[in-house]
Amino acid sequence: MKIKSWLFGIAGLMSITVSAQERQTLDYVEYDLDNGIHVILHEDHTTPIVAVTMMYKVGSKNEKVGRTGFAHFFEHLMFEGTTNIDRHTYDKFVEGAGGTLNANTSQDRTFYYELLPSNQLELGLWLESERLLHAKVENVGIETQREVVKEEKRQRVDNQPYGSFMYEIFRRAYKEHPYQWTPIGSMEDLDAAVEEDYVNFYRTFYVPHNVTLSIAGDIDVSQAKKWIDVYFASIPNGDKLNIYRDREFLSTAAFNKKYEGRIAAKVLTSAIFDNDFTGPMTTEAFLEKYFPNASEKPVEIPRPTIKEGLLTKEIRDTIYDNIQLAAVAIAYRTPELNHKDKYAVEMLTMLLAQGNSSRLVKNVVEKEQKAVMAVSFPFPLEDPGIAINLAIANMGVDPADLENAIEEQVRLIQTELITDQELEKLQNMIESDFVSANSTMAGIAESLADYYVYQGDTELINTELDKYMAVTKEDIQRVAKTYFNSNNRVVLYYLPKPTGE
Amino acid sequence: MKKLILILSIILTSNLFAQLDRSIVPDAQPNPEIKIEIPEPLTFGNGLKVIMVENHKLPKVSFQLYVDYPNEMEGDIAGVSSIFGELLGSGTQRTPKDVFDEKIDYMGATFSTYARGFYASSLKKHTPKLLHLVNEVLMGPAFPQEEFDRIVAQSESSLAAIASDAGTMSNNVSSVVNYGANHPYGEVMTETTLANITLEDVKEYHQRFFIPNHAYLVIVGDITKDEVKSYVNEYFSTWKKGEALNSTDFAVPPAKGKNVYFVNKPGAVQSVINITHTVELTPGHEDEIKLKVLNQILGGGSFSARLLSNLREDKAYTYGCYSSISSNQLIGSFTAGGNFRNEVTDSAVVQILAEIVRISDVEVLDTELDLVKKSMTGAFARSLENPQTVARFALNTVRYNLPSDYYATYLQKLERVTKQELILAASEYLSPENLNIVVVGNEDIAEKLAGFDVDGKVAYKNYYGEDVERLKDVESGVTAESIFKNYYMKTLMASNDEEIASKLKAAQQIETISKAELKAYSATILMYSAEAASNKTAAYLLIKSPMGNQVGQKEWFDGTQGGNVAGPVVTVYEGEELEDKKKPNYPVNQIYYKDDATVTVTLMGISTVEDVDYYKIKIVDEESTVLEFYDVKTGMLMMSETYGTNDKDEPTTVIVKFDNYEEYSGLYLPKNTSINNEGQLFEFEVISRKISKKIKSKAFTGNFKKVDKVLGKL
Repeated sequence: MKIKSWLFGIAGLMSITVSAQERQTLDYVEYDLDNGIHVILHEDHTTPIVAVTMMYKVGSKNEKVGRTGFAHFFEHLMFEGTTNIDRHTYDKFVEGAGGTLNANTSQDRTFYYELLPSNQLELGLWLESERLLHAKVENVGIETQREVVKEEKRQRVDNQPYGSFMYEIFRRAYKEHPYQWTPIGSMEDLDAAVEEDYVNFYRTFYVPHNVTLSIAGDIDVSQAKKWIDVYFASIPNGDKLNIYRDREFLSTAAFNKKYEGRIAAKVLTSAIFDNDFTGPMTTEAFLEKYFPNASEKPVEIPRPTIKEGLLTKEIRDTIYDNIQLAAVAIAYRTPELNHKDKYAVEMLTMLLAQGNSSRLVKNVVEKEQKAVMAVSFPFPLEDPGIAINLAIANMGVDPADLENAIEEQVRLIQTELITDQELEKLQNMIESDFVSANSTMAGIAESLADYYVYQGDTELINTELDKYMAVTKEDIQRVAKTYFNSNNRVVLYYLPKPTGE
Repeated sequence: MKKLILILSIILTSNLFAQLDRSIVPDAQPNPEIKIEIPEPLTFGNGLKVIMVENHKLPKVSFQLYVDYPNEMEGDIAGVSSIFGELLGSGTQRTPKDVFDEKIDYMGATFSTYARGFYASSLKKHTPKLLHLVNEVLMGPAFPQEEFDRIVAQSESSLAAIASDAGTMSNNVSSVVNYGANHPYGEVMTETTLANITLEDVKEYHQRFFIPNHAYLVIVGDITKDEVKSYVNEYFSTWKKGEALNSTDFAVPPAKGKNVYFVNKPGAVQSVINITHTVELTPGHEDEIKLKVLNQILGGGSFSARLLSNLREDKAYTYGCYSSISSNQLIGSFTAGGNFRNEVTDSAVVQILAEIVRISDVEVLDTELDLVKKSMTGAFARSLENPQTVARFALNTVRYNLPSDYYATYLQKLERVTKQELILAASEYLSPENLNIVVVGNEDIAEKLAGFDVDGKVAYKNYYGEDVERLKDVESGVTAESIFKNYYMKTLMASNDEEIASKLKAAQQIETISKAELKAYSATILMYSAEAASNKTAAYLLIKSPMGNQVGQKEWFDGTQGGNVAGPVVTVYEGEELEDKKKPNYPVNQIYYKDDATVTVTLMGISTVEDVDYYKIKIVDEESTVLEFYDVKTGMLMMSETYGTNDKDEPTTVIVKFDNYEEYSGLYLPKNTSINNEGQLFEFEVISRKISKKIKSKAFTGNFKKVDKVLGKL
């Protein structure tokens, strides 16, 4: 008996060694510019393309009450143009170069990217430096994008069956933390945004020490570094950046009023100053001449300090939606992304619903036929997040029945250790996912930035697999008990809206 | 000396700024070379063609099987292919589904099936084990009955859920109106066709279509040619050849003018607009690249495309508005549309149509063409990052019999496209005046779309693309019961309950003789019908023709017993039929429904037919479904449609229309009754009607002697 299990152990070790050998290390270089921009570069010449990405650490959690949806709205405005790029041409530079571009906003960060032929790297750097340094937002753009964003909300949330489930969960799962609203925000708040909000938001969050420039693809690292120096290292920070933007965007009168204490009145009213301010003088030269000692010290970025821990009492509610099939969503509070339990929680959700042999799919969907589909996924965030079990009921199934069936599967995991075979299955799935994850340059650039921004450890792109592999059967049971318990959850039933409403 | 230093410092400073003129757009470096090699397919003994793309970047291998059998109509089992596709992955004859699933998941592999094959993928180290399972699927899927039942049950749920999914609703209706009922692409699975599908159908489908001699196997990843050969020999060569299938031609209905179709989605806050028509464009046709360029300018994915730039960036009607022109071996299609808030739905249609017209009538700008060519070149190059792209190119090359350098020379062909060619292609392939406008949304906006339609009418569809009647809401306070009661009182010409009672006392029996001409047979039908409180009925039909008089049909019921005679068949009422006859029905049966537990009555709404409004009421019992139409103004029953089944369980439809209500001794009854029985039309007109205080007709007991005499004299 003993010998046999010992042999088993050896076999297990061997398979781990094999997989370690197969794993390719992903190389990259990373460094900080003096102004605080973090740079990550990955060189890969397989295809002549390059992904230029900027991850700003600002998302809906940095919004104020009454301005929900602002970070995402602002992201839309960041395509409007800059001092040197006319309205409606930002995208044309990219498309004319044979590239594509887009952006997205989450609770925690805003991510911009250009995918370009590799000979257009410099263009991508120029475009992103323009966006960081002096993005220009005009009223016509604001009003247009306000409506566009509202259409986006209608399309993705309001007119989508079950489309509101994230919104409905988050607003109940958090009492204090800004995670209580989702990045799309509310129609009223989108309507409420005024010019001052844009200026403040840009100055607070679109600053060098709040962004990671991550580039992956067919690049020459030393050439890329030179260009990055040219376009990004020269971007000022702190007070100097504010003056820079004021020189470009304020009228002479407004500028003079704002800086009357810092520049002698005699100078401000002089024809030379007026000429320098409105004339062809570059802003760099202008700063050099009038503000040689302006501080470049980064201004500290305000961030929410509230941390909402586990829930202490179940929250339960019913949502009536334009749907035909009922659904049950059960959301549990989980720790922040950087917590060691992140890995076990993720494996728990895979155990529940990844693959046809998973607990929910095999039992609740196939054997008991209570649901047409069941998913389970973690939603880790920088601050404590949630994990969600969600199932859409088969026709005629009572949601309470469905909830019980899901709960029964969770209970089984809490009370009975999973088998070795099941743990190995999860490990194999993770290995496969991990190998597949870094198959595109865009994906690699984003992953590198994610690891750095969220966890402060870019090297996780190579080592995170080990953290999953270290998770034990007992860990999975423990996190099931700790987090997937009935006091720590929001339960929502989605029911068809009664007709006539 | 001092001056010199000053000059030097100025040069230095300006040098510093010279490299930093941010208004200068950086130049591109020399163009990278785009390499593309399209692999040749290998053909194996059973006819299976294998395409492999070696890519050793990641230790993964994928196998995609595509069985390219010709399309056929699925008819009354529409959806059988999709059920088959799902069931194909439900275990094999050697490995039951649960074990199969366990084995796939244990490897961290992916295995998904669909009607035309499967996609299997895993890390390289698991490839042999994965292929072992794949081989079992090829050699014999399990097709278990319980899995079939489960998939059918879940499909029922999914069909029901379409009602909340505007995108699917739009796709279904677009397919139906574009391709028509006689084209495989116009077929939609419905509850009815799903219910018709049996496990036997699925097995037959498998037998007939799932054969290697129509199949392509696409292998991509960390694998060598030698490995491919040995894997295919080991795991795919035992898959038995089947009888090759010939392709059939299908016709699509020609679009005539602009046709508006509307699907109601209650509660919708946006409309899904799809403006579409079919396009005769086969893959690899020389015009295809031109049309791709044209479409990119009109409504491709970029912000500068006309639809997005006009409807989003300029007018803010939408988050996204796009178009597509797709080629297909049978028939291609053009589509344009997106999601728009309710208030701007009609404005969005105006703008989209205008853009289609503009691109068909006016040459595109050089700058637009140039931008799109560059952007498409870049997109083509970027797509090569994914090794599956090259595999797709190779598959297309062999499937559509394209020149072997079709993709290698793609960028040159793209570069050569001119704006003159674009306008020619637009005039040949786009038809701005003949197209379908499909809108899924809130019914409030529907009638605003009528102006776009060639006939000025919106055709209402359900989400399967079937015609639906548009009903208006009834005013509040009106119920089926109130409509019945009103009809009852009008019939009795009573204005309150007391009058009803006295009228019923005074009129206990109604006898009617009516006549219908059967011109085709030079015959006349005379009908005697009688009814009396509370459930007595009788009818007698005499057919007069040049060949003499003939008794058509007799029926009687005296309150407790009865029967009928139709030709040689004599029926005596018993059992359920007898119980049914015993139910009270005098003078109109509608008023008794509320006390009858076997009948379900639903007031559906107001239906407008030729500018007259009718309350439409559905009455369902175990035998049949009846739709009744009451004139909103007069309150009288004008039509009833009865949907039932005959002895052979075939569906039957009987439509009865009532007209020319007149007073007959204090009762208000129709003079004309037309009966349309499965297309056979009888138009009866009342000759005489007698209302009696007492029940005296002998006909209720089956004695028609007197009746026969009276009718015979007429």
